[in-house]
Amino acid sequence: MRLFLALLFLSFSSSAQFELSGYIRDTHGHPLSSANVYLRKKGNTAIEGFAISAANGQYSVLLKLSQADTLLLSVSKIGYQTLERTVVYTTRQLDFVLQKGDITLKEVVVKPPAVRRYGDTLSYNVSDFQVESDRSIGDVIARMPGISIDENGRIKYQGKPINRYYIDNLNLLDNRYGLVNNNLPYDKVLSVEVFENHQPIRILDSLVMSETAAPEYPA
Amino acid sequence: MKNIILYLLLLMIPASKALSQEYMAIYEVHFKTSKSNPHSYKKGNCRLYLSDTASVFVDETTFLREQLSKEKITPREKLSKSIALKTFLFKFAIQKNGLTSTYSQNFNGERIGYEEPRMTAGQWQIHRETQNILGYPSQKAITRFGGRNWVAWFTVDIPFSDGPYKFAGLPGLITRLESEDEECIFDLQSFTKVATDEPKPMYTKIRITSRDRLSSIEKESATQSIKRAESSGVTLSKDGTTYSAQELEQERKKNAEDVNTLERN
Repeated sequence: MRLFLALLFLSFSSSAQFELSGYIRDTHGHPLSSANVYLRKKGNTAIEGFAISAANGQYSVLLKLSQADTLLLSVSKIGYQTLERTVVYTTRQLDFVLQKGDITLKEVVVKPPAVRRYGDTLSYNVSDFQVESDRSIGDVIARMPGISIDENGRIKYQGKPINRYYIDNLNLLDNRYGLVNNNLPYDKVLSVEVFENHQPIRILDSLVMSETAAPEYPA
Repeated sequence: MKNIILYLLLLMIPASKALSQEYMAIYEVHFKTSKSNPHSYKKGNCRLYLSDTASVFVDETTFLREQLSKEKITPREKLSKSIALKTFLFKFAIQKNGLTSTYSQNFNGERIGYEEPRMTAGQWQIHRETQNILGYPSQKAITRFGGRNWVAWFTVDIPFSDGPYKFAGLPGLITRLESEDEECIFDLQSFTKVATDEPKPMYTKIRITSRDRLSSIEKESATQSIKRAESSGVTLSKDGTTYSAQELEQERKKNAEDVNTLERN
């Protein structure tokens, strides 16, 4: 019993929940709404708590803090310079004045990854696998990781022959897909997708796990 | 004297540019378009135009089509240009300002939509997990919205409290958003400045109605186009079978029930 009480007391003293609030204004004293207010422990990247300022510029953040913690409070808004202030255990109220500033945000443009997985579908970006000597989509597919084409033109995914070949979600050719695979120009195909555990009959999806896969080409 | 005037002009140009900071975020979207078919994922791009007071979220193809319809070119050129566009995923646009988010869609040349309160900070729960997305340090946050559980990753390095669709309220831009059921995934692809003279989506004339009314307008509009096709003598056939308007309407109803939506209600 004594031990229990002692533990309870410890947990109370080591961290407490409190509210930190204040107003955010510009240099003319006008309230700034929609400013981001967030708190981090000093030296950490993860945010512990945050708020967005209201129309009157007011914000309030609820947080758990132990006596030993020192927090950094940041205020940011597009078109203004970001402000940072140290918050200690006893801070309850903190107002900010933001200076206008032309902050340049880091810009990025990325190329989508060559292979992507979503759900049980694997998507290959055709342009990442094609080379100049390729003639048909089949030449490109043969180069995709996990996919191989045997001497009879059968497409295998992880060693197992595929059971359907779709073009834009339509099953056109059943097992005669070699015709398309060897003749369809690769530059007409955007991506190749492999459906793992593919069941041609929808109702069976939840009942039987299919062992074979089916590729598809959304053009 | 001439020198002074020239000097002043030079100063003014960068100053006016600094006032209007506009950015565009492009998200790659993977969306399961059918409720029943697990292999109905479609890929597309959505753009989020951001300024310091408002934002517009729109499907890239939908926006490019709208731009194309405004171009002064021959119908033939329009047709060939529209064929070159990818298929769209979403027809709607979401406009957000400080307090409101407006959903709107084009129905035969008229824009109709509904308003909702913008998502707030209180709707999110942040987690400690962090990861680097496109070079932006991003942190995890979760929410329940539109009948789904969502995981978002946001970055304080981009101080726009915004994101794809109606999602907003975090202290920075959403760099990745995923529904827990993996049916809808938004991945930040690019974040760039937009030139002031570049055409941007702007929907100013929106007839505001209720959300329920909008969904019945949507149904009516689909039924009307089937009826119009029939009265103009157009017959629709598939695999050699011709369908009557009644059969088409039944088919439409059946398909409509299976169409997946970002919000499940």
